[in-house]
Amino acid sequence: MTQLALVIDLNVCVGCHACVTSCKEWNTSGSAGPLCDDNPYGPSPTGTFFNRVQTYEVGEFPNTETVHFPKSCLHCEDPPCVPVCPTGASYKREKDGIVLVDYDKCIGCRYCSWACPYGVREIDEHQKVMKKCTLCVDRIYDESLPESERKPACVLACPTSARLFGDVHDPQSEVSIAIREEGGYALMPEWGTKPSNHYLPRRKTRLHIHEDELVRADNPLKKEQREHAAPVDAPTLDDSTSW
Amino acid sequence: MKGEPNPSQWEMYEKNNCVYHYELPKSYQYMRNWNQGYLRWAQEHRLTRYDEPINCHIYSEVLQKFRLAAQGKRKGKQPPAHLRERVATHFDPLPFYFEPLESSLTDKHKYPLNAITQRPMAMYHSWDSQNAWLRQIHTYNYLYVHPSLGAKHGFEDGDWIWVESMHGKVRCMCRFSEAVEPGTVWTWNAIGKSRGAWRLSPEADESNKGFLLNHLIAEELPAHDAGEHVSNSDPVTGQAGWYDVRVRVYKARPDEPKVTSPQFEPMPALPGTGSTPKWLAFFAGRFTKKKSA
Repeated sequence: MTQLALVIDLNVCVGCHACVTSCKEWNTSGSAGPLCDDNPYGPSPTGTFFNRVQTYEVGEFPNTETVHFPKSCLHCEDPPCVPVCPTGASYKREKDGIVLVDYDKCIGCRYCSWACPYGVREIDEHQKVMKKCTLCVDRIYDESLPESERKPACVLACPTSARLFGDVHDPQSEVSIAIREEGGYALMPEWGTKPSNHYLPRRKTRLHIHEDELVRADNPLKKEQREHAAPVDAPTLDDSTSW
Repeated sequence: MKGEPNPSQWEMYEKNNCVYHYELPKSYQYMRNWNQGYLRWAQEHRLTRYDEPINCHIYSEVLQKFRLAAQGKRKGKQPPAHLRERVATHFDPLPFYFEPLESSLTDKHKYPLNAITQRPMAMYHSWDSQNAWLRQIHTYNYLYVHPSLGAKHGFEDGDWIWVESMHGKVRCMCRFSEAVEPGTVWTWNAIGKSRGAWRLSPEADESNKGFLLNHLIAEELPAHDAGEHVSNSDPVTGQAGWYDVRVRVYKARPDEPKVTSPQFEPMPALPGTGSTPKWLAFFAGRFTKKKSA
């Protein structure tokens, strides 16, 4: 059974919010939109975003780290937002495991946002329905887009390639390999929601320098002889060796 | 490149779709600032003037020439008289550490902290506060301080404080952060705005809770032996010395308004830009009926 999800690499996320704005840009103009903003140019602006980035500090000076934490719907395998919905607007697709909201049925009671332990469901005050990450379902199956662009907008926008997209139930997919090899973890497993989105933790890079790497055997400073100027078109020795 | 103009230029453009592609030998393609083959080829074809390797100099001849002039050992252009000593000291061909010029003219006991600013990643300079989505990411800014500063001066996380330099003072909110060096304070720059600027409401958080550290920084150094109006800049590059400023912080009195200081008269709306919408539902594209086939 396919379960599409995102893997977010906290080791490279720099908190630039490109995923936040590209998500809003894509989804405000599709079947999930528009995503409304209140008081857009006034005090305390607020709006509907599917993806938000929170920043945390860890540790005590001088051993501190600033962790940027993007969070959007985790498309849980056992989503608590689905059974609580009184109209059945909140549903999980069998085909690919994406959790979606049917706006025609949603009455905006906010029950699902109470049920969700991750806080990723938002009410759109003007359309009066609950909205959340759709995993860009309108992008990933869109045949008119080139294959490389059939990914969620946030994945394409991330400048550090911190976001990966794929099938977490397929052991050979990019996301499954990342989870296995980099120690990807789920958020708050104690809630029993079995979230599909995983996060890759911070990694410390340990550099090993070997003695023999510090001394250069063929030191070019020792051979400064200038060759006779050869004609420009003549091949150099480098050109005739194959790489 | 070089050579005589080609009389059949237009035809050649047409024939090649206005693109000329020449593939350099692989050995010329890497590390081109030091690549002898490439540098010689580029010089032959007049892409560059010299075929010397382009290095980052540890001993800079350029600076040494300036220094020799300042020391009176070189004929040619001379530095202005009031800056001669500054050039002679700072145009050292080898790198050396020196205390920022403004710091050496500041009472460091009165102003013990360094203040720096950082650009927020989601915004560019002041721009983007006019953008309804981006301003929800950074609506106002705090002064980030190490908790030890709060313990020392008696303020808590989120309190209103004054941050003051010898040039001015600003009232703002503080945020405790362990990830700050205890002798430094920092904030986001360009988030704070003046009331009414950028077509925002005069009650916007950018003006009432956001602040600019710019009020604490001066364009000129205090009067000293080099002159009364000497630019507050790095002596070699001329880059403005924003981060040389020294500050102190103290808690604001409880009766003070919980608004940033200084405040200015709200800017009037520019002609043609009147009111802004109370809510926004941005949708790109058009709502049109699909034409039936």
